Amino acid sequence: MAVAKALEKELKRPDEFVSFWTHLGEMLSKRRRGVIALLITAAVGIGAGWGLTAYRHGAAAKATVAFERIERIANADLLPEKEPEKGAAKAESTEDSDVPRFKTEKERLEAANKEADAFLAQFGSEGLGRKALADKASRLLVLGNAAEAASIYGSLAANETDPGLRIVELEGVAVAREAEGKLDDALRAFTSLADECQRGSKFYLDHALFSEARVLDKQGKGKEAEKILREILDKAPKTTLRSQIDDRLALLTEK
Amino acid sequence: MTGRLAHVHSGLVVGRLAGAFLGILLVSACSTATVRRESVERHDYPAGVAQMRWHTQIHAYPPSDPHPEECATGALVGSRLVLGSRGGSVVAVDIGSGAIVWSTAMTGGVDGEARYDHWRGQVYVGSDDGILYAVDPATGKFRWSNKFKGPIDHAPEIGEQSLFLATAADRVFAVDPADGKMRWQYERETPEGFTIHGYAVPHQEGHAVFAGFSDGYVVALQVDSGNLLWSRSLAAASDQFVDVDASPTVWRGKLFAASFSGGLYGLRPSDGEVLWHASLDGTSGLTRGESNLYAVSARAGLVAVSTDGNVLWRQGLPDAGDLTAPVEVGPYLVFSGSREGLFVLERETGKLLQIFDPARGMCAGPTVDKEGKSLYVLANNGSLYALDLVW
Repeated sequence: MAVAKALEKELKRPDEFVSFWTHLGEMLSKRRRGVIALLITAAVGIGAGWGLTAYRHGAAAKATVAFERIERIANADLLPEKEPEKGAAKAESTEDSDVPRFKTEKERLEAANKEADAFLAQFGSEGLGRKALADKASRLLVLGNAAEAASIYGSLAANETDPGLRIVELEGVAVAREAEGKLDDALRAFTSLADECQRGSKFYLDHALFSEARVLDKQGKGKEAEKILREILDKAPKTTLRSQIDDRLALLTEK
Repeated sequence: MTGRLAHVHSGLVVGRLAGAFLGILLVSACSTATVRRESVERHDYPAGVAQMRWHTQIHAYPPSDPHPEECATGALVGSRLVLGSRGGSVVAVDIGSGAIVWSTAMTGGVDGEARYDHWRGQVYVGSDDGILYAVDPATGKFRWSNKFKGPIDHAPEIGEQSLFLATAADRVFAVDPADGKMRWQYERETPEGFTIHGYAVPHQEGHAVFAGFSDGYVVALQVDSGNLLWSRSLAAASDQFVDVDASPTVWRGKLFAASFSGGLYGLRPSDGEVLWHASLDGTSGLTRGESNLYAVSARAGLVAVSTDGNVLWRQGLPDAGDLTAPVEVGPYLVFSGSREGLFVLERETGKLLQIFDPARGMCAGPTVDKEGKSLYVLANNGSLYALDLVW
């Protein structure tokens, strides 16, 4: 009786050993098509994920090199105004072999913007593209194309998610409008910049209000400008603009 | 029965197939890691492993300034990078977007690194007019400031009770971190004639503070009093350019120090006895890695050295200019060259993987976020760059 029980136990053990794989096999073989489809989907998914990651890394690496080139052009040395005299020792050069040099600042800014356009065409205007656009707008301002600069800053500010960057872009709009000579538009833009600063971290509020006062003064509204300048001193007595505010207040009082 | 056996068999086959597929997945996961490693190696100079995320202007230079320089390195505090600039202000930048969160004016320009004191929740920034500031990283307000003799190009060493600050005037100060007041100072005479630009940051280990000076001496000072425990000249046979500008460091029971003329030394921390000497002329920087030391030498470039003084590899970089202290991050070593920008090397071999130079070199060292696999570095034109590292 005891031997029979022992045999029964021994016979049961192999069954226990194979039971997991057997049950799994039975279950999978019943759903063979589904399992095969799942395996293929998983393989394709893994392959696609790996490919996408590799593509993204490759694109990011290329974008970094392309952006670096814009910056190198924007920072390139200008050619000396006069050709060095024969026999004169060569000055130390920081010339890059792969970056052209320019006769004037205007040529350099235009070349950098051309490179920025090529960057935007290849990599789009998101991510680093937003930086390329903002930099382009600041160069356009120096080149005197304030209308296009205002348009770029405006479009960047319109869909900006970061409040700190939005302040920079709104200031760009205001400065560009002022450069265009559209003082009413500039005043509106500086006022909305000041409101934005008031709602946010306030660290740039004194600069926004100071610009607002400057435009009001340009418009001949001295009293309103004076009121805002005094408001800055009340709200931010330790402002770094203190000496400029004092000078402007002195001029306004004289008037 | 046959049918059942066949069923069981086919079940086993499918089960084993599934097991094999799982195995393939595991192998592919491992091989993905290998492939990643290989893909890193495939990233030959000049592009690949460091990918730019944003940049923001910290200090704008006029076009009339042909060769600007910015040498300040930031300190990471949560999601902010706190750093100074030659523009005479300290700013906090949001590392997610690059937006400036606050900006506070200082009386002088900043040429050195900022350092975050985790214990006291404040950032130390020194200026070229000799003022050390303790900055509240949340608001940018100064908790205290104090003037010391000599320009401050490096953040202080943070000790439990005191800060240990060195200045370019060959002095070391112990400073109370609560109010910035001086507890003691130690000074050595600056030699006549020319010395090498730069100076060493003191290093505290136990009851001693180790410091280097431009007369070629490394000294051990008592933490509490500043009294001299011992001093040792590392000048070798030379009588000029003997400066100890590399910050001494204690590691695995040895004190590592270097002088410009004498090279690299392994010393006994208790009495300054020389244990070994490597003739790495022109050494002006010394950094401790996970398993190696890295020496920055004006003549040899960047050199990886074992703790017993054996040179493991050397990367010349003759056109790079002055190099900053290298920082290990993952499989890489990152540092800046004053003329050629940011360098990424393979840590194990010293192989050059990438140079990132958007604006005429970088004399500021990078701030590395090892967990975030990112770095932040100020270029000589005053623009701060954020880069992600891929591995």
